[in-house]
Amino acid sequence: MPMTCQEAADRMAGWLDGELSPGEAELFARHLDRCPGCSATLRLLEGQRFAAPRLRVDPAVPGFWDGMDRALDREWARLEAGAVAGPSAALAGPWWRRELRLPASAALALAVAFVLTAGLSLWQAQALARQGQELAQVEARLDRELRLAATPRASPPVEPVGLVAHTPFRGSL
Amino acid sequence: MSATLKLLAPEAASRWTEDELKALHAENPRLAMDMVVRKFRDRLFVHASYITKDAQEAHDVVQEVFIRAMREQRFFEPAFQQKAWLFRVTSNLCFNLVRDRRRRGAILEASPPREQTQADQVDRVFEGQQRAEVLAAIDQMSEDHREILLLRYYDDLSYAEIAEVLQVALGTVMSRLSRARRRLAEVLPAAAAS
Repeated sequence: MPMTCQEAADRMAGWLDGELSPGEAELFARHLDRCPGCSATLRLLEGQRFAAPRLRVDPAVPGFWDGMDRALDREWARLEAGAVAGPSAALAGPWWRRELRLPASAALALAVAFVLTAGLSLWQAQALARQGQELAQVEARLDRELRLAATPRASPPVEPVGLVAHTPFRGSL
Repeated sequence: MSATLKLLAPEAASRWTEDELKALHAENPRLAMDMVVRKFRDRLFVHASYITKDAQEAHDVVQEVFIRAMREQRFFEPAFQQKAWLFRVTSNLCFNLVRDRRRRGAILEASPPREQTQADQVDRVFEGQQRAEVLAAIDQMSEDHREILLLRYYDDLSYAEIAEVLQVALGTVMSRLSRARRRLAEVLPAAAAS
């Protein structure tokens, strides 16, 4: 598959630095043969020179690093004494691999906050449980009363009323 | 630094591979770290000088990088990429310094006259005006482009090493370098670059 101009543009530095694989280099060369635009751009980049300028300050001069050597000696002594430990804070890798280090005051504040939060949660849980129990009692009572109201009441036994025989009074005794 | 090591030339230390330094660390941690310092300090100083354009700042950055390396517990672990890590930390510290300097410059912008032009600053650290022009042009580019050009063409890192330093894929190194070189061609007249 022939190389596009965009693909060729992305590989120009690789071509100039000899970093293309043989296959890529062949595709790139074929593209240049048929693309005057990319050929012109490449000629422009070929003209660039990156000769390193000479430093005015030479780090190889004896004594140049003496100050740093002393600082590193002090750091080494601190490390051996255990005053500084662990990886450097910056660039120590992805966050999930970093060791969490907190100053004592921050750790204390976190501990206090944790205890307070846990206590508050426990108190709330107990209050909720109490309310739940009361609610259950009220519901049970209501339920009982409703059931009672729904049940038809048995009528009290009616005593048979004795029939009084009324004998018509007739005449005098 | 140990007295015997002071006599050791950096060239001798540079011959030690990372694996040999890691093996040495198991026997003598202090000596292994001293060798790392000897091996990389000059190259890191040059790299820091390219970015900061200030020898004293570059010196301070290199010192800070090695202090961080001493505190980095994984530094001598088998899979740890020491060179890439050192260049990455150096770059980050230098760009932080440059950003701070720009912020301070923005605050002090109202106080004329400007002390130095960009080219003057470059010339203060580097000799040779024509060569410094390329660096001055690189200095006008974005951080991404500037860093990758410095790593490749001034620090002489391979594409694979640059990928480790920048933590990007090899293909990204190639395409970013290509874009950076095209951008440089726009910034810098071809005559000055050659």
